[in-house]
Amino acid sequence: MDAPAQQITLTHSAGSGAPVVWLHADDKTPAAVALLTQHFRVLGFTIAHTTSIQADAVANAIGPHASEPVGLIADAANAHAALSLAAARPDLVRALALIAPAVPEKLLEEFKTPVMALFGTRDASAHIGRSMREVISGCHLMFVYDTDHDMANQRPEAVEAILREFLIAGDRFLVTSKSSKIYP
Amino acid sequence: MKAALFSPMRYHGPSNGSGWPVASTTYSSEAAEKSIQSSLAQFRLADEVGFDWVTVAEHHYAPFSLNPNPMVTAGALTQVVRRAKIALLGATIPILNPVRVAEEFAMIDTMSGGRVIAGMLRGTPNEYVTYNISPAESRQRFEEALKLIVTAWTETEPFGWQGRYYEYRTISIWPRPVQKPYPKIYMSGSSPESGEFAARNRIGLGFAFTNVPLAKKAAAHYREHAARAGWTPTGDDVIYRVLVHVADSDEQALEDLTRARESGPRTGLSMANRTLEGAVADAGYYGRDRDAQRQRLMPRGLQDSIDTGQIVLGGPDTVVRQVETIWRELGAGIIDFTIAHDMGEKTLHAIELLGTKVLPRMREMVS
Repeated sequence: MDAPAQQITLTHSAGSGAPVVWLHADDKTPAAVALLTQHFRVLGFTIAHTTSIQADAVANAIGPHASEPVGLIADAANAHAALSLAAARPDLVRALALIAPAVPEKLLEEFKTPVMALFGTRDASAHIGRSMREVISGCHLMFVYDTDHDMANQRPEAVEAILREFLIAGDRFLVTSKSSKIYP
Repeated sequence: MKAALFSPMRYHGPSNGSGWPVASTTYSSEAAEKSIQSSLAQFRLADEVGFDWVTVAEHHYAPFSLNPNPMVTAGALTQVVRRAKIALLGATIPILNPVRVAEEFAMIDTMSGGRVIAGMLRGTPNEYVTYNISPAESRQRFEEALKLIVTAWTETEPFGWQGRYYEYRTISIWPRPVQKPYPKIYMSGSSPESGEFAARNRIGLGFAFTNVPLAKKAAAHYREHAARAGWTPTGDDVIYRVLVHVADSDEQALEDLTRARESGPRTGLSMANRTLEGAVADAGYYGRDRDAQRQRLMPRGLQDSIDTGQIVLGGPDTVVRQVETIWRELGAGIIDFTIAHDMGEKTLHAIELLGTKVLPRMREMVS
């Protein structure tokens, strides 16, 4: 049964451009969001975790705010809901970034949405990458140096930069577009 | 105790330079080739007479060392040195590409059948000019590069790195290190900050370009912080690098070295360019005991160097006593004997004496 829609609350909306939805656990907006709003229209939702949230509930909550597929970011507490949504509604989610997620318990086969899992080097456990890729084979593993699960507040510039590149380019983010030229 | 043989691979040929960097106007390819072959022969002999390690290190832009890339030398040594471990003390990781460093160490570990020792250093102050890296960022670059290298060695799935100084979208190195989980790591530990970092991260510590009193103090600091971190370094966690010349008698050794110092090449690194060294110091390279760190790099006279344990010199009995002092004062279980001057046959004889007369007694000393 779907969770009540009121458990999912839009807490902020700012910026312009392609829509990005950030599912975060508490009312405090991560510091990286302000940076992302310079490039995207960022919609922040908090989810009250009194019951298990189903994909449809999340889709229903964000649907009215997104006229096109969204880039979806979820912190650890919301990773399960985000994965469920991206698996069920690839038409709604064009790329998924998970911040310090727990490894999903079951294999996610046929997962078509580009997905990245970000881990802080302060708390990444050994072989976390292998564990993630065993359940999501195409998952991009990204270590954010000198951070833990609160990376979006600890190193907002670094987190925003990689999220931006990934949400714009999807799997093609591997190929940098940054120029290495020093002077013309 | 263990013994290593270190050759800086000095250039023995015509050179018009002092200072740093040194112009190559009078450079001789033949002399350089001969210098390198001489070092390789010394390493080969060290392996044959029982040294535990052979050591190479990175230095740039001067005849002090023909070894700007010790990975290349170590690659050659995998085919020359059949038994001893090959220590890179080290790679100057803040000025290099850390992924490349991880790959090269893994290559050498594979080529040598798991015999590489991974020294990760910040390098001498002048090295920051080499590839135009700010010395003010040396320590932060070092710490991040080391974390990245270890992650590249241990993470078996492709991963990206969003660092402060390094950024990669995907890393998955081949080959992998043979030694599991990865080769033993050492770092330079003369400054308090380095000793504390090594202690926190359970990394071995090496002392070079210093003397016994200063290294004793730094080793005690390291052990104190290791205890706070819940572990106790052993002799194998502490390396002391010392210049050496051994002959059949004390008198012969002194005469050999005195002559070599009079006629041999005079070349240095940071302290050969005081303006540059001063600028690096002002940038904050040395850390919180800057004056002591700079002082240890200053050139000293021969007798002073002997008295403070910068040089071990003499016949085998005298050298054993000097090594015993280093062990007693520092608890350094690995002595990295550095060829003071390449004296041809005299140096080869010194290596033989170290292997046959000194090393067995060093092992008894601690066992």
